[in-house]
Amino acid sequence: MTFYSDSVNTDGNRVEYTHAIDSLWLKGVGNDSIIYENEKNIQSVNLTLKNNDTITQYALTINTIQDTITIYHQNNDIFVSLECGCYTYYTIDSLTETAHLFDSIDYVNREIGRKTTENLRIFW
Amino acid sequence: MRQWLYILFALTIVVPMVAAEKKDTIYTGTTIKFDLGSAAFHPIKNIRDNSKTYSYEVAASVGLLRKYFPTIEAGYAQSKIGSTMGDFVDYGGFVKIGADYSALRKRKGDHHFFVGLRIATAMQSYRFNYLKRANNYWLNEDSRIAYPWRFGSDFWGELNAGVQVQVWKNLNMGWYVRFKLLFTRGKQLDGIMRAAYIPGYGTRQETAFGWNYYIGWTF
Repeated sequence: MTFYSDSVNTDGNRVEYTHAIDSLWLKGVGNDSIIYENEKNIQSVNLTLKNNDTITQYALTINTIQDTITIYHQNNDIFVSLECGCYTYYTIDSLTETAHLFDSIDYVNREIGRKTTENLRIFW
Repeated sequence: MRQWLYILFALTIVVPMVAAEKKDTIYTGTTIKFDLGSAAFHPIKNIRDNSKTYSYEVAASVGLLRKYFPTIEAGYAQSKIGSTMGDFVDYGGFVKIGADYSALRKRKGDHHFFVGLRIATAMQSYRFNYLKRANNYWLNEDSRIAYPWRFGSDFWGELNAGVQVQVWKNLNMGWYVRFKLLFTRGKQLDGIMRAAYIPGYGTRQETAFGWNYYIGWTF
């Protein structure tokens, strides 16, 4: 998930550029482990979705504004091997937030596999 | 009990071929082979791998012109493999049909160097008793999943090379090495996980090597 801002240039075209977050706190709802704790200058975050549920929630605080992002997704378990177990591939259906911190969300790639990819662009 | 049913099924395919009588020099006899290598090898491998895999195979090949050997192979295999990440059970039968070509030009006795091809299919029942999912951040939640019994089939081709030597009268022994190419690729079919082990093929992977050491009798 990457944070973006956009503007309109002199030609009237929309220009997108990454936006650094000044202060970010991030943790999964229902998980005590904090992923980002007052991190500065954050442009993107890596999130993992739940593989035993189709709804994953993350609580984030950006510049003192608290918000909860809810990601609705489908899970598809792929058998890898008996040594590695199985790996879950996801398809993002939709995303909501409680505090409406963001202007819009672009789905760059709704499919989430084993490689780290940019899936969502959050616009400020 | 189930494995004996598969063996009986295999024999019903193989035995009628033996009943054919030699009519002229084109037909040079039918050889029934029992795979001793797999039967002996797997129990040893099981100790190393902490698994319970067994494979039994019989074959019948018809000699034509002492060069061409149409062959049918059938068998039964079962596998129970466990690890910290998963536990899997599979059993089923397999059939391979193809032919060998005896590449030896000058021979004394009934000795052969074979090259051959097989087309093969296996039908198996299988289940994952449990599989662990890989997920670091949410690992504190229950990440085990279980799957019910399923029925599946697979197809593959084999390129074989082997040796057969006449030991005494009609008794012969030999071995095959096999390169196997799986046609039913992909670990899922219509969203359902396929079997991790394929009878007659081995652990599911796109290509595999195998070998047989057999003893046979030519009628």
